[in-house]
Amino acid sequence: MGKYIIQRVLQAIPLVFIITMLVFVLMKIAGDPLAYLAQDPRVRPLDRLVLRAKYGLDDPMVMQFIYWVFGDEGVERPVDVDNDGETDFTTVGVRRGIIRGDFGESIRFRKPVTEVIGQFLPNTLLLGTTAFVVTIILSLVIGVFAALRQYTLADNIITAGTFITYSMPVFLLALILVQIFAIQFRRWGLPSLPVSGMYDPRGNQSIDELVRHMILPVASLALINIAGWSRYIRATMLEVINSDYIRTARSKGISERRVVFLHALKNASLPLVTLIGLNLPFILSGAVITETIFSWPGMGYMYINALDQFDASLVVAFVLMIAVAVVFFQLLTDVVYAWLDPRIRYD
Amino acid sequence: MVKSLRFVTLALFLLLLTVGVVGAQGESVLVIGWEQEPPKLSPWADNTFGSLIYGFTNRDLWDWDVNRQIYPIMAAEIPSFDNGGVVTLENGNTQVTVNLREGMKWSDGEPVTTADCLFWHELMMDPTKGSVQRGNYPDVVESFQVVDANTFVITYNKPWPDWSNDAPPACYLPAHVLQPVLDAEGTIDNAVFGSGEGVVGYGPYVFESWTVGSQITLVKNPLWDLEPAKFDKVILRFITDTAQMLNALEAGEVDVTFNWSDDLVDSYSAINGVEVFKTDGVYGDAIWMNVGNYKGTGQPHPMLGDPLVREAIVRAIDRVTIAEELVAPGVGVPKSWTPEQFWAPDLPFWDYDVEKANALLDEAGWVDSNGNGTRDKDGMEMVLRFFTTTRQIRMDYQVVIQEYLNEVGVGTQLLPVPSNILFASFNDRGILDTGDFDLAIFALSSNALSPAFSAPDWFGCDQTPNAEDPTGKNGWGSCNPEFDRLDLEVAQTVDPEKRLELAHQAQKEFFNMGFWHGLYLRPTWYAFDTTAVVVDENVKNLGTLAANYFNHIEYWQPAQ
Repeated sequence: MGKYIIQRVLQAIPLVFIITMLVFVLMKIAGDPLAYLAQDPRVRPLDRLVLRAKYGLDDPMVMQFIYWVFGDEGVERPVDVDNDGETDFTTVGVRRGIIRGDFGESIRFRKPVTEVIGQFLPNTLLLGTTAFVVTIILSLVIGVFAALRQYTLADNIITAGTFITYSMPVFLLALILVQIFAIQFRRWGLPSLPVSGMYDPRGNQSIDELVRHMILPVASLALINIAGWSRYIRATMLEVINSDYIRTARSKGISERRVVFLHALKNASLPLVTLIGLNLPFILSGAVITETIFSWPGMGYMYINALDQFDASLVVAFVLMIAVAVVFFQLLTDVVYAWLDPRIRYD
Repeated sequence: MVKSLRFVTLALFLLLLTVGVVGAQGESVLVIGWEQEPPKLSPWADNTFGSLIYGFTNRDLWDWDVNRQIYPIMAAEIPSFDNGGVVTLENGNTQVTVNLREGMKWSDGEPVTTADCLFWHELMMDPTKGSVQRGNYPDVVESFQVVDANTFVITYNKPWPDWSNDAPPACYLPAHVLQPVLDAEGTIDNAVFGSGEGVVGYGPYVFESWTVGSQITLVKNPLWDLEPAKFDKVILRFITDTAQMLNALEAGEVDVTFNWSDDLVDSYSAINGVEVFKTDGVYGDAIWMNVGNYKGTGQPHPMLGDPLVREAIVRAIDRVTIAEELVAPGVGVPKSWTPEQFWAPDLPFWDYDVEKANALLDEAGWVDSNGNGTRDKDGMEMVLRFFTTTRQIRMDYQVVIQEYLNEVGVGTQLLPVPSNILFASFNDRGILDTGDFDLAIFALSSNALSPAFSAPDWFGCDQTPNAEDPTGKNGWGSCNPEFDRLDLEVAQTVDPEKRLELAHQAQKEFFNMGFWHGLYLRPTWYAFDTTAVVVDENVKNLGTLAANYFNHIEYWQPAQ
């Protein structure tokens, strides 16, 4: 197993490098991050020149990437303000490079990228983890319930409901939830749910306020996954409860509850590990659409703003983080799989 | 299992019903929906929503009301030739003496003095001290002299009639807070002040907190000595999604939204208890034609280089009707780039006239010789690459204009692109800077208080960007030396009557270049919850400049 893990880590290094390089190049050729200054007569071309020098935007692409990885400490960039061929002043690079933990400075936030990510990540983890836990619990409950009542009215209703929900784009689902539970409930005089942020702007930052603000984004995130995962669990559960060892357990007089939850569910849940492993990295990335719609100050919200503003340092650091997380959690999934199922060997 | 499901359902329902709205009572709070979180609280480095926040916490020496009347704030009075505050020196240059109002204090209790004004001046003059919106300041200011704690003299290096609104003096930042940072770091770009820590200002509100990604909270400034603020607290709530901003207003989470696009007027107006109003903008969307920088060569455009074709294209478009239908009733079409109050009474304007458009194109030699519905000449089809940004109203305009131009046999290829591609610098292959377009719709701001065009980078003959000098902004290659001369003269003529006369001549020369054709002045829209805010004339008196949406926030008052 140890050899397998080392192999996987070594394989991951070039993969992460290539992904990062591709994103870096794409972001760099996509546009000018300082273009937003062009329409403002108060910003002189000189000031754009100074900023371009500060961020190294006029360096060749290859050098920008090398500086990003290894740093540009001490690299001097002369600025010719009046275009007379003489250097008017010089900016000096201070970045230490990602290999030394310096992911650069966000152009729009004008802060170190790690500091920006540190401000948004906890909120994403809170929302994502809650949605994830809700998804797992309700998927199990609904999946098992539907499997045990195969082809009954309840099963058919669940099947129809899951198909409808699963086929719905998340932004549509979110807006429908907002219309019902925030807008219409308010019009009907019922207690309504908030539509934006983590807390009531006028109120205290209390736990119950947080819970109220989490209901709609968590529901938006969880419902579609529940629809998909519960179908998956229903199918694996049906396969297991029709297997020989379950019939044997029942014939030995073991209670139905014990058969279902101890013998059947344990084996039926094994494929769920794959689903969980594949989806865990995306807790870190945040849900771009959901966080944007609900103004949830998380990684998705940050990412979409960074992308919108062509904040290359922030976007590339974000993608690098997700790439590493995907590789790590896939490896972790394989290890857990082997631990749960002794038949699996990687050597 | 059924019991479990019932329990879960019941619990969720009860949670929904029992968790009530929790709000701090007893203080008046105004919540404003803020569509973009500022990168930093830095009027010196950001030109959008960071600067707007300074409308709450900082004030200038003077400001203007909606009628464009100047009034003093930090200054004891407005300097003028009559009171001796403005003089013309023997060499013709302008000198302004400003007296600060006595007794002003920053929000931390320190007095506001001319040391703060000197700090701003030094910051503006030296690009290494910080990324500042300097404008013309370093080019036109000769010296700054502190007389005493309340008086300073600023001398311009030329006659400078726009001293109050173009490169004016300012006392915007507290020197006692930022000078130590500058001394230690050589720049104020990384001051924690900009991140919301230790923020000190002189305005009706004072900065309290910044919850990143959520909101900025401002509270009444007890040391503000002018019109007292009516709301105890103002919260700027960050909501970046357009649809959710609308929902947040309807759900009562915000009291005010602003700066939303024109296509949302009906949606906002339909909300019960919400009043919508607009103020005329200073950003004028217009059609810009590449007349003299075809594909970045600096050569005349094969179609638009011909004045007859330019006139034909503009005459083929019913700009008045489009503005009425797409923007709002009553929105006019600007005749020139400078503000309406300075327009020449006989300023020409190309009205909608399809017959004339067809005749002009025929005269220019562009006819549909192959019967494909598009005019051509010397084997070249008249198809124009028509760019704009992805702002909805502009894309709507593109589509409608395409229909109008089809009617006269002019084809267009619609190319909406993100603004950072359209406005990218020459070195980043920006579409405008490299002249890689035929037609484009976008806005550039003019100075709402001056008859001068004040934008030599954009209109000057020698300002077309190229590999040797990529800094100019005249990517459309317009050139009229007479206009350049007149505009320079307008900028430096102190006599108001003579100045206006020169401005009228400059406008006509600008018109003759024929590369800019106004579509509408983009209004700024506001929506208020009338149960939260009294919407009277004081609220609507938002001034005339681009970044002063809340410069009269102290007059806004709670509805109850």
